[in-house]
Amino acid sequence: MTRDGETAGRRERPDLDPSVWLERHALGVLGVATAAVLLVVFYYPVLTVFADAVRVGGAWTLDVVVEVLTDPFYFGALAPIFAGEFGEVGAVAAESPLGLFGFTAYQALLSTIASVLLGLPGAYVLSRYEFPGRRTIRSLTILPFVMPSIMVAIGFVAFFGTNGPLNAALTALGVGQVNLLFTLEAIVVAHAFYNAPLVARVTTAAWESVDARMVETARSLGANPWYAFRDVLAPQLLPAVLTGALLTFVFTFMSFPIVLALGGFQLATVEVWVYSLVQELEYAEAATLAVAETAVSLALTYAYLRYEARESGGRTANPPPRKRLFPDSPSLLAAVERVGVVAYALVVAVVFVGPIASMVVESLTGPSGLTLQYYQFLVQRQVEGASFQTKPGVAVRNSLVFGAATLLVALPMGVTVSVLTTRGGRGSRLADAAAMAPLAVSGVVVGLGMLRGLVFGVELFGARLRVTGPVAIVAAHGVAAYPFVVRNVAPLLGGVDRSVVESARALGATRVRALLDVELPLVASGVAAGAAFAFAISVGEFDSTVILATGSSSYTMPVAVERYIGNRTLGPASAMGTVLLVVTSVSFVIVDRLGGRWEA
Amino acid sequence: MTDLSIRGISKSFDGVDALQDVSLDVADGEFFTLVGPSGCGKTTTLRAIAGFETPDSGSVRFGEREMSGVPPEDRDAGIVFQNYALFSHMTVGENVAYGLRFRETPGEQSKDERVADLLELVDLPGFEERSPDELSGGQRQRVALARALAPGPDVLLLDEPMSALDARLRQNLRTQVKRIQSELGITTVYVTHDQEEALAVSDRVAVMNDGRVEQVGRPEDVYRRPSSRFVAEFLGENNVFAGEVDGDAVRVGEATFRLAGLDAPDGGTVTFCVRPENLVRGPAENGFEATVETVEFLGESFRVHLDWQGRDVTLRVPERPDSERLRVGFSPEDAHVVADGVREREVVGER
Repeated sequence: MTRDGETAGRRERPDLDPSVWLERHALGVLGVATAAVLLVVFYYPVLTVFADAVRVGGAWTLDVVVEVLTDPFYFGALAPIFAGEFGEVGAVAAESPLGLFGFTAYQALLSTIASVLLGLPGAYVLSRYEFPGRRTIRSLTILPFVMPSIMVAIGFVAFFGTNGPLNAALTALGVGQVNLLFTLEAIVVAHAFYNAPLVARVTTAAWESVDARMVETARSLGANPWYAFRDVLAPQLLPAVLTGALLTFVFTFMSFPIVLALGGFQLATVEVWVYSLVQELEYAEAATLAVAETAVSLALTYAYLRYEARESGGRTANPPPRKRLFPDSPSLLAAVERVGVVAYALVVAVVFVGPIASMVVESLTGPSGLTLQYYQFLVQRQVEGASFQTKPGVAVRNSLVFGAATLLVALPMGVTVSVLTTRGGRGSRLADAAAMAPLAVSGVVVGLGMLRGLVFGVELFGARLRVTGPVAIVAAHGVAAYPFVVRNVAPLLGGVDRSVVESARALGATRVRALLDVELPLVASGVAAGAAFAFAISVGEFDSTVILATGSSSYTMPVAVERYIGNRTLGPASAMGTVLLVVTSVSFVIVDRLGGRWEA
Repeated sequence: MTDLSIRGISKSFDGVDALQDVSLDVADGEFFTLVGPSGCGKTTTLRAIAGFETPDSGSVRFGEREMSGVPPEDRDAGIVFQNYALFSHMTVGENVAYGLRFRETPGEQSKDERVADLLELVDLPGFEERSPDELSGGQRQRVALARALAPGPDVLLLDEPMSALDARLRQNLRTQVKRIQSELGITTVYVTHDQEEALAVSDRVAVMNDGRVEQVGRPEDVYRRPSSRFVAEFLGENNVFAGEVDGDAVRVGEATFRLAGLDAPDGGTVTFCVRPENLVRGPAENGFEATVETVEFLGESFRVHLDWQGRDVTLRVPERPDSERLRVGFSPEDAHVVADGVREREVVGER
């Protein structure tokens, strides 16, 4: 072999060639496009709503803000402190110590505790035991998180209601009835339904990546199993548990449909109150509340991101071997532990399987026993319905089309933001938080902002710019979904060895080529997981879809469920909910199969 | 012809100077090594050559091409990293062919022929369809080398490529790399913290410390005539003494040593070093008696650590010492005066 450096063709690349320019600057262009979409579909609409807080009747004013901040109804004992009347604190605290914000934080705290208590045993079982179906159950834990809240609400009403199976079972046992509906407990349990799987997922991931040698070292130094757990294992799991808890708190702090459906106005949270103020056209007060709410959740999101960044260091996973569910030589301790596992499985059945199963049962049960009349109703509506009526087939088609279109928006946006924030410097975490804002801003505000900013349109250079119908819905779904792509992709991308990318660059690949050829294939499992989330969020999204689909035929399955809710019966709605459940599950199996190809 | 010229590059990260005014010239076809302790700036220098770091000031040239503003993909520099950095989702063949997507295949070959040639060159013929996961560390590193060489780069950059391998493999691979390098005659910059490796394979070495180049020269020149105490102690073992000048002798503690060609004012302080292999047993000109502390058997010789008036002195002898006290000495020609603390840039044996 001879020296061939000189014969190697060094391709001259004129920088003027537009396609070359585009490839070179592809990431920058995508970044600008992402920022533009966020600006138009998210920041502009939200800010127009927020502006109402300080702009009443065309004039700038702080009156409403001051009024809200100093109102004990909203801020409880904090209100006199905001007002500077420190002498009043005692009197106000005696009457309404918490206020609306305090109550919202209180129920979020209870929900978080419940989610952690319900999620941690699940993480323990999933990460420490080996049993048939473990992997399947593990992937199914994503399901509650993406279930449309309207459906969960129906399931809860059906299951926990006075005539529901839970009370029937309790009566049969002679325990007497419990009334959970319209109590704080119902809200907390429903929130745990959503978020305990989240806690379980992140903790399981951490538990599966612990280094058994550290525990073994502690044992060899004289620590008994409990001390080894407390001193060595728990500190390794704590970050994951805190991550799950923090996200749960943010989500439950802003929860809306669950609270409205299961608590009503007597148990209103800030978000429900914002909704009711909007209904009464009290925009200034609603906007002020929404700004205060967003400030809290944004601060928590930022804290979460800082935490995630600190924790995303490379670890050598070397977990201890899994236990078998049925040991060969059972000891007393092992037996007690297995009994605990069985008890936990029962709780899971009540909280997770119960509501969903009773929704399905409800859809098959008429006034006089087993019936298919509600499904007949759906078919009849599809075949004979007038164009202004809600057809189930149209809802299914819309949901699937919007879901697929959401992927086309959310995946490029999410990957772009991941790349731009992963290897950035100090400013990147702020940019990251700004990009994550859709997670932290109230759904009611986003929906209202979109209605006013996009649907009604903006006057620009004498022309009225409007974004409506399917385009607006897909954009809204894309903005809501892409943070989940980022959270799935960014940590993996940060873990890709820098030198792998640099090898590709040195071999002649541009930055975006290296991303497509090397980085994305290496993080394919994260992209697939992000895609699954994005699709599910699009299918399940309710808050802004119901606003944007008003009076049009762009309704999705959850909107159809809501429209079918009747005065006396949950039948048609639960039938539609069952359709939604089936369609979502089937899509998930397909997405999981497609995505699973890349999983290691 | 691709020579490499680095002129006065400096780089700081968050206010910490990583490189301070580094200038180096690498001749066409030369095997040039940057050696130094971790954090000395050798990798930063390599990354500046590859285009992964932009120096705050100074310039990098490949031949006549000024490289500032040229992105890594347009530099024609092949790079091999310590951790192989193979694309684990591609086969060995796809890895090696990756660079050929962007540059024309050198010569009149097809891509497949080129890949086969390169795999043959690194002694892995027929490995095209293997997955990187199936390969041993040494094999992976050879694939990485083949991948870097496939597009026919102007410059080959090696960033601690052997550090992850065990000692024997490391020696085999470095011989192989050296053979391939001289066969292709490709200008090569090699980064390592292993001074033995640096001395063994390089045409010339640059010893770096604390973001600066301490000394550049042929391995034997730098080894025999280190310009500073740092170089004297970093490359191989050395016994360093400091004392007061008295005519053509230096007073160290209670002893007086004569040094050949000593040129320093009376009463001044001077630092000099004597290699362990140049310390001899028995009565010699500059003799002193020291206590044996420990003895290590190295195979071909024994390393003896001595305590002489509270100073550590190392000696290499063919036989295990038979007494607690040893008399050793060195000839005046084997002592070499070095700069201590004060940085003096000196270039020994410039080509």
